[in-house]
Amino acid sequence: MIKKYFITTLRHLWRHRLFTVLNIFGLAVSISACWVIFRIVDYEFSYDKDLANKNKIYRVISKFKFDDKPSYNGGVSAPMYQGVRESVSGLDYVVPDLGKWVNTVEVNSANGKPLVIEGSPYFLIHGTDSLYFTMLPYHWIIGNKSTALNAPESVVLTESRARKYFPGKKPEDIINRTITYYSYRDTVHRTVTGIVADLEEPTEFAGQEFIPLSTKPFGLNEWTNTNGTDRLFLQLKQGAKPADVLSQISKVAEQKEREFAQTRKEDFKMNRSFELMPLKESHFSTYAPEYQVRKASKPVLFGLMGVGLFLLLLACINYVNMSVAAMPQRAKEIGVRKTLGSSGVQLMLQFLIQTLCTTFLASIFAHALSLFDFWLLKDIIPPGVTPLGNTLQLLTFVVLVSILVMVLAGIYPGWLITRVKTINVFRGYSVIGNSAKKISLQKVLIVFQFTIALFFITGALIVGKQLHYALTTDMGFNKDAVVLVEVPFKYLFDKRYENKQFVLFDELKKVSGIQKLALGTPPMEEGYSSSRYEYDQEGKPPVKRQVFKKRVDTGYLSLYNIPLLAGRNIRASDTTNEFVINETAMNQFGFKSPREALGKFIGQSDGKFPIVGVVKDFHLQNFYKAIDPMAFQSEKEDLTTFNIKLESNNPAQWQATLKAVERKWYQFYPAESFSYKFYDETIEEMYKTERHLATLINLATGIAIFISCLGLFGLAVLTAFQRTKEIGIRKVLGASVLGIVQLLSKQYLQLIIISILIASPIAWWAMNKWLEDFAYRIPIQWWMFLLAGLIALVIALITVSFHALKAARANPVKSLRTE
Amino acid sequence: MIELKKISKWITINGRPNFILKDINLSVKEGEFISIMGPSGSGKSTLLNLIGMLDDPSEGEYFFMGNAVHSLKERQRSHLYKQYIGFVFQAYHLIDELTVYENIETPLIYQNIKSSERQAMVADILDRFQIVGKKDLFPTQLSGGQQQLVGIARALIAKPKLLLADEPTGNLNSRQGEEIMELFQQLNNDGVAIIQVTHSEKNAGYGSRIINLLDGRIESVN
Repeated sequence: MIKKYFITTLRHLWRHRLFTVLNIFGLAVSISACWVIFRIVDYEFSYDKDLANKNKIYRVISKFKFDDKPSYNGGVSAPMYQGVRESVSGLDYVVPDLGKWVNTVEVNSANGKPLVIEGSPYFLIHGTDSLYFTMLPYHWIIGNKSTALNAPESVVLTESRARKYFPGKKPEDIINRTITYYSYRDTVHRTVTGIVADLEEPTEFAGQEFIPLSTKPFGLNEWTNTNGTDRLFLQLKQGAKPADVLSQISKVAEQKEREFAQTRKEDFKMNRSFELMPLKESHFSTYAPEYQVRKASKPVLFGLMGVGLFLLLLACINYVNMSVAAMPQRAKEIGVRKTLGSSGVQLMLQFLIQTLCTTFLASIFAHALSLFDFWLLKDIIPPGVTPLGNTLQLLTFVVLVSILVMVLAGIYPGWLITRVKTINVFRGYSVIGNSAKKISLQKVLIVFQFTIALFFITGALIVGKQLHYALTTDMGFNKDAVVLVEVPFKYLFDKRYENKQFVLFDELKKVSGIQKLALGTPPMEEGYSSSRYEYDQEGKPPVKRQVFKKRVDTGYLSLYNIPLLAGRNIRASDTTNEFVINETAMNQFGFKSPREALGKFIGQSDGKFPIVGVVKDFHLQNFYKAIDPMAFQSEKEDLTTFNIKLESNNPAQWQATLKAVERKWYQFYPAESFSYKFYDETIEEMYKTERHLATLINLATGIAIFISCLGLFGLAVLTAFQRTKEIGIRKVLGASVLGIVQLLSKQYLQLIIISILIASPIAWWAMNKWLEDFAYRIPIQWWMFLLAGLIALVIALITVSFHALKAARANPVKSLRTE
Repeated sequence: MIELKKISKWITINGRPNFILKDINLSVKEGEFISIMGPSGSGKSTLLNLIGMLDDPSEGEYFFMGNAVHSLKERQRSHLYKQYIGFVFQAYHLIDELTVYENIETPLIYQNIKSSERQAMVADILDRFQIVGKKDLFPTQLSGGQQQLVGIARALIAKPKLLLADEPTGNLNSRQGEEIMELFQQLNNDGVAIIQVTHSEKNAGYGSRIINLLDGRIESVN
């Protein structure tokens, strides 16, 4: 019986090839989008999913307040773990993970030539003890958990890392071998004392190399420092309350802060608190960014799921619409089957099977498409997500989606089928209400589809515009033709390279094609360094402000074309002895005019220096952030970035100039490969998330338009077919081709105009929400909605009239003869 | 077999009932061959549809094989006609997606007859109608007469006691029409009751009784 249904279904799909292809294509496109989204979401939510005790593990993180703005740090003061171990109850394990940056690793091999691995630029090794391996389900391939980290210069490797350092070696040959770790402070020879199997990916515990904790006692001041790589994990006892644990931890830290404060003369205040972050939240803690740790944003993931669901819904709507529109053609078959004794349930079942077949075919096609999606989105999809997961997952997905689509798209037309009145079919009456004036479900669905499509179009327009605005607005400095070259961080503390950048600087001055040259922190960048500066006025309390510090040389202002409002440029000096501030700093310190600020002393309590100049405001950070107070200062040893202005009117020469710079570079830093970046590109990279959003929304827009148009096209074909006779008669009566195209297209255009009216306020609201995060943003204007509407209208018109034209030009004699 | 008592059917137009059938009393015995005639709009097809349970009367009582159809539920009614009634249509109404074989088989599937039994029954009727060679063709590959033959075969496959035919020869040429009528005659001789709607005096002559309808009333019975 079921087999019969399938054969009939396949024949039916084949007979109506055009619609089968439209349906399958629409479904496939959205199913593939769903699949890609599912893969991403599944991956992001599967961190440490098999960890049995994951619900008991917490991370302690630090929360600071600057100018009333909270700011999180994923780390805690390094000695915290000792204090917590001593005096906090309710814990199974207290596990420190004190990271240490290493820039080069050297492994001696048997044939004498050492294997040297450079970090890019660094990698992290993890200081911890045996409890780390107790809390986490590590399998020891070789070595002993309780003793491996006893010796001060031991190291435990993961299997994958061991394979990288000792290619082709057996574990028993690797144990006791020596690895040399170079960091900018020290060089340590370590002995491999154990190898553990890698934890199952993806995991928050990404450490590959583990070293023992330092036995050196911590100084009191270290209780007030926070380093993002000094992490602290806790496993709570069964039934222990996180809030209790947290308050105990806070007490320990506050006690130490008080002790520290007593050693200082002035009043000392930390503004620090702690939070317990459940392990399963760690991957989603975008509010506490960590260097080299990729985090996922839950709202973005939920947004993605929403997009996936909407796209699937769009395709289902197509399916419903086309099935309903095709109903009159199916009615005869349905009527005949009813007279032959079929029950409604059987008819419905048949239709559902047809839906299932279509969806199944679409799923297969979708997987080919998703390979393409993965290629298209390779920059956005997190590394580690693969296009095809395991078979079980794939099958589950296909089955679930097929059933979902069957229910969403099949139930309503299926129900309509059972409602078909046999008697009406044979009499030639219309089988379902199809009058032009009635608000039919079909119309509602088309409006819904185009509302979604329009929402996406508007979103794409506005995101694109804001991005364009952020990249092309005058930022207060001239970034054209500027190339940045950084002196590698690891050389900065290396005596052999001391002051080498200044010699190179002088050499570069001789290179032709360089218009201007300066050393110093670029005006707008991702990272920043800031201090709390104060300005003492007589008789009034001092004004304290967090001020961005930029270390620059004398050529900097002219290179970036930053205008001075008053005073003079900074003078060369080895250490800070004067400031040039920006307008915001001027205003916030309370100076009425640039002139008034000149000569006033600002700074920290141990060193205040005069303001010698005020510059016009320029952007210090991306457009999410308002311009903060800033002070230029001269600090010779911090001048580590070359700002090279090429001849902007002669781009053809740039490559040659950069080659010349490269040659000079290798004379000074032969071991470090030369890398440069155009400043505009650096700025573009600051908007990576937004560019990804733009890519995604553009893609979603494309898919939404595509699917909606497929549906519209299908409907147009069906309506034109149903109205063949009417068109024929009208033509015989003298209607023009244009008139008929109008007749066939008009009703759809009305629907799209309704969609514009619905979508615009929703899009306005959503985009306003998005733009709100930007300190500098474009205004949302009415023409954006108009443009989006126009785009949708034109696309819809082309889609509909394409077939309407064909129908209108058909020979009426033919269409009337078939009656 | 059939007992119609004071059957009326109307539709309401502008608040006034517009009668399609009015006070029809009719009884049909098993094995009868009845032709219904009358001009366009006289209610022939409606009467046939009422008898075939595709349509409900507005008023009156309908007994079929002793069952009061007018008070049966949809499911019971469907069960009744599945078992006893076969339909033949003017426009054949074969299912385009199904082969000749499958078209004929379909009613059996709906009656939950076992596969092996179905095969035997379909093979038997294909043989009887001499369309074995056509069994794998689709309806569109057949001539009108051949399609109607398949339509009749399909109507008869479940061995109905009553065959309802709405202008079965309307789309056929006279020679094909004659063949179909002779087939009906033969079926009737085998004991199948037939009620047909027709325009043709000649075809009506095959029946044992002719009912003439005019404006929804039985005008005469010969």
